[in-house]
Amino acid sequence: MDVYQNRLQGAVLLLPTVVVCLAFFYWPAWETIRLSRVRTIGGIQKIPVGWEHFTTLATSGAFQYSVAMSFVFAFIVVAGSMLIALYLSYLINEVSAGQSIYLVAAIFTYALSFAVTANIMDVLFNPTVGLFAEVLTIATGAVGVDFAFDYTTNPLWAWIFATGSTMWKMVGYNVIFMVAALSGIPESINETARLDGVGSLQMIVRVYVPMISPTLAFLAIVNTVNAFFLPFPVVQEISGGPSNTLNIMIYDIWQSYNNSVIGLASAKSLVLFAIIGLLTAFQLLLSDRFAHYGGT
Amino acid sequence: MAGQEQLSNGRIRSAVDISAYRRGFARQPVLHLALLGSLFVLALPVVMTVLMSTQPSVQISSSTLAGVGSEGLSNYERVLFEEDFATYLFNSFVMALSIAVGKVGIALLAALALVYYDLPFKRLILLFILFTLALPVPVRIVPMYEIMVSLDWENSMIGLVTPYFASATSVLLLRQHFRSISDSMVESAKIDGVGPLKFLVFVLIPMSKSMIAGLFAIAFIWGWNQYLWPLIIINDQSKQVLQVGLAQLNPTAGEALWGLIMAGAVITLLVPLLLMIALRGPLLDTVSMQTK
Repeated sequence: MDVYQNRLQGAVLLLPTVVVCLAFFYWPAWETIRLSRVRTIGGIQKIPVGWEHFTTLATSGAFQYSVAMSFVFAFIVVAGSMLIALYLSYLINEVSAGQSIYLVAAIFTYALSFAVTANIMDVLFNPTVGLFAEVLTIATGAVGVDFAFDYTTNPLWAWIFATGSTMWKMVGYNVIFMVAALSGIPESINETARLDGVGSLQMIVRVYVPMISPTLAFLAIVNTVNAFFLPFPVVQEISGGPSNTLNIMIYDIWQSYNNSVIGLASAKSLVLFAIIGLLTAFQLLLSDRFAHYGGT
Repeated sequence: MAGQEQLSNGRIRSAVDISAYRRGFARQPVLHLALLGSLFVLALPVVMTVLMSTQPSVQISSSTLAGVGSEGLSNYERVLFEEDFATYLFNSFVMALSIAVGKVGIALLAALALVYYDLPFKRLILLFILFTLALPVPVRIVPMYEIMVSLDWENSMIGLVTPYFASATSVLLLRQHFRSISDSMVESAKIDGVGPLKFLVFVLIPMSKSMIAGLFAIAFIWGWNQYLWPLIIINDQSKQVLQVGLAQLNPTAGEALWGLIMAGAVITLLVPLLLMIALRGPLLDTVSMQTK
């Protein structure tokens, strides 16, 4: 309801937000578009090259690999962390005593950064001194399996290390949403299903997942967007894995900037932006659609 | 599910009652064991981190079974004062606090304008703010650095925090919340001729306490955990923050000082963790409101 008619006053109140958006979001994004169409020489001179960087990227096998691996990485960590979170949230929703403690214990990774995650996991799984790496080596050796738990030489293990660490970090965020959504399910539905003798797994798959599907859809997209750029410290920790097998886009862009290939790096970040933009638009559309369902 | 009413919107207010917990455990033993088991696995990396932070580095590298080590507090002393983590801790605190206050403060003003002012193109302005969600730091990084250089803001707290002041999420949630405040309340303020800032401070803010606390906690944790931007904008060690300091502690060659690194990790994760636990009620409510 419009209480205040003074438009100038209203504009002044909006000014800080608009200025920050323009100065640190829109203008830099526009500049990135401009930079993607030049080649820098010696860090100062800029020569216009048109769409050259984009045609280079379109035909570059290495970049295609990087884009594909970003999707694979995102898919693994989103699916993994959401499944673990769903399982934990289900248990927390079912339990009747000590819920608050269990909930805090399940969401603590929300407060941790990816930089801390990368450090902790590196110390535990480091190939030369990591306690867990050594335990795994001894355990697999005992059953006669020869697997190198070394992210510097074994690409598969590098992938497991990076996706596993990222999944672990992302569980907390998902549990917050899922527990809230599950607690919103009417008691009568639970009881009806129970009386029909529906088992736990059946309950999750047949009753809970459909009931909280708007929340799950929201999480799937938000997690995917996050998975495209937040796990950077984890990948940086292991230097992109053996021979850059973990060269996901955000790490690839960082490397290009570091090598001062500004034009090409800008073109790469625009491709990343296009992907994130599409996902965000899709999410806004989706939440609009689901809003009619009472908006869980 | 007897505990259901306790958990409305993921918020639990009741104090922990040990005897109630015992009774509950006896009623659902399998459920409790499953929870204890899975949460132990989830917490294991952090438990190990705390244990290893008390051990001399040599002991960790020879992978003796973890326990509380002989180094105790000396790793913490060394990392705080020899490795400058005391400075980083202070800088991180100032950064996170500034980001949280700036974000929520500016968003309050914007939401006030969007809900209570007769302005043209309101939807368009909202979309303009919302679209910033699709522009994460990596897409803007080089031009942002160039802006900071031209403003002479590199290596400064103001350069570190200002880009984070716009918050689409805060504006959106506060706008929704303000719209849910009853019209009669607003009407009486209007009749009394209360000015906009007074209206904000004495009516809107007291009625949004829980949401403001939640947004503050989210913004503080987010700010505290930033890594890429400080890494780029700060190259003076006395201005550096914990996240970057911790990464720099990781030596690429030579003897890795794991006990020291783990002590650094504990210092880095402690503040946001405590804040999350302290403000868990409003935090959980506000975070899960984002799907609405």
